[in-house]
Amino acid sequence: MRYFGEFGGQFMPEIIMPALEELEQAYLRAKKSKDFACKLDYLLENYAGRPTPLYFARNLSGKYKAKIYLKREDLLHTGSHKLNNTLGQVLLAVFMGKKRVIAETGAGQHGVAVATASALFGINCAVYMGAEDMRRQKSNVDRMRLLGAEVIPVTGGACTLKDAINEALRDWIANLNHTYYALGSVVGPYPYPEMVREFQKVIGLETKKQILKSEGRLPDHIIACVGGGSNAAGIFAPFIDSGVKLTGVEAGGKGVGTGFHSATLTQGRPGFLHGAKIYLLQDKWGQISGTHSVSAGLDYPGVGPEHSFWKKTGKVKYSAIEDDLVLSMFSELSRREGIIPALESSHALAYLKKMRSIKNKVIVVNLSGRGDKDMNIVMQTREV
Amino acid sequence: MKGFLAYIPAGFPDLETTRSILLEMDTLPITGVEVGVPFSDPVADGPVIQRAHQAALEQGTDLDRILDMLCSIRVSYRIYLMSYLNPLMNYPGGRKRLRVRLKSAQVRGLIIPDLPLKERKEFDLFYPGIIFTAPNTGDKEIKLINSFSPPFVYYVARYGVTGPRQDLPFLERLKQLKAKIKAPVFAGFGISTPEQVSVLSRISDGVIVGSVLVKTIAESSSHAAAEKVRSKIKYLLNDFGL
Repeated sequence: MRYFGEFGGQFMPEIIMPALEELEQAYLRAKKSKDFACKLDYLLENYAGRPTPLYFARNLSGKYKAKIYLKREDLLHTGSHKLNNTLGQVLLAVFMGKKRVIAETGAGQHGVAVATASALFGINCAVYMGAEDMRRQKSNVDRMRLLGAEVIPVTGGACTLKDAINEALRDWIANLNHTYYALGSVVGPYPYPEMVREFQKVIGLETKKQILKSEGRLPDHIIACVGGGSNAAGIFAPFIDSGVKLTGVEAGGKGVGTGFHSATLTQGRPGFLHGAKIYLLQDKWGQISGTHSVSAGLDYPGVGPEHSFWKKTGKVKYSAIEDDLVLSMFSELSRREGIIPALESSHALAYLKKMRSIKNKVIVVNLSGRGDKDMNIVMQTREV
Repeated sequence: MKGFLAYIPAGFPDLETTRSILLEMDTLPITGVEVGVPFSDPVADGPVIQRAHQAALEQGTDLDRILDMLCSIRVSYRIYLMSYLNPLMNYPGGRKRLRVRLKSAQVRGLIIPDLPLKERKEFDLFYPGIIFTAPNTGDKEIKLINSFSPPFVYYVARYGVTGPRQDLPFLERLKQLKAKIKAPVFAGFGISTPEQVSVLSRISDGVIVGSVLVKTIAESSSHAAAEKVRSKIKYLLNDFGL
């Protein structure tokens, strides 16, 4: 779908349009191709480690007096849900005969996942990463380089995810014929938002099967963090209009009143960025605002067009959680369950603390990634 | 005489300098000026114009101030406003008010790099807009372009972002497009030498020159910028005998 209600579209320079058309055709062919599905399913199972467990978190459940399940995307190869999408997209790039893959990355998880898939398929890979993000997520920079990818520092703008997307788009415009742009989230022009959601939907489909098996019914509530929104779109998609309460948690940073946050859906207004009409954090004049989050992966002033649609139509509720609460949840899950969550996923977990009617509810939290990459940041901010 | 469009980013290094550049350019035989509205995320632009946008924003340049400045000058060439979509669609006074203000600033049309033809079809654009084409634009699209009768068509002469280059790719494609498109076709992106200007002018209705002028502004002091831009344009036009 090119549009989700009024959101989405392809607001890109004319010169990119034929490449988007080529991508759309290839994606639609792949969607119908048994060969493509077979290859992808094989890799998801044998290389990436799907299905990931839906783990009943006994200790956490005891504390909150609810039945809390964690969808363990942190156990996926490379440590986050990002690989679901990059295996799909790099396989598509190979099907399209492209010689080179480029990508942007914020926290580095998507960059690592693209570098991994590129290594697997023997394809050249370049990843654009904000200079500021390279500093705060150094271990992921090292991993990408070890995997054979070139990591290109981005020094324009705020040197974060938004600027890395700008730079990757500029590279793509110059190299359309042989280069595939593997966008990491449900953002950008059509067909990316739909395609990335479809590759991530496996999270929600598995969750549905697993919860029916363990509880005999659908959960009351599903919670996921939202930056661009790919892990949330993946787990929400099969549950839209099913009666299950869905909550997307954005980065409240230092507080939504402070200006230092990335709470696009709760604080933004519609506009146009990176090829789509979406909710945006922007100033009075339509200039894109600077953002802040303790987690580099949520540090983005936009959000996917489908989330924008879900927000406007009330199909999903969105809430913002501040850095302090996120950091305390980071420690809490580590101590109580022996699982170190990514700071991004800690946002979703921290929402448990804000829920009013939580007692005896069956709740699924999407644990989108593991927290090893965040140790430096957390050690700097507080005593763990 | 063939056409010449100059791109001047508003507010770089400040709006007063932009104003004096625009006035100075009235002494030249040019077709028009594309006045650039700065944007925080100019994805179609290379480093030279990116830096100009950033500097203009740091100066506090906004659309109202740009339009005020344009209202304060009288020039004989045509004025177009080049802006990414978001600052236009989120103009604080709303689109109706923006339309009125654009008219009183004598803006002839909008040039929006992130509004492609495919979106333009169903987009409620509130003001005349030019249309972009590229070497890879298909014949189906060309029919559509003619149905819009735009003020002019902007031919993006290469794969890549804006920025000075020496070569001239895709001339054949330009000739084909020129033959099929009814509106005037101007060619831009990477035009920085009198030779390029001369060759392109023979097969199109004119050229669009941007980054090389922005570079000229960046390299001169603000009081000398207007004169430097004027000499640069004279130098670029030189080859076809004005």
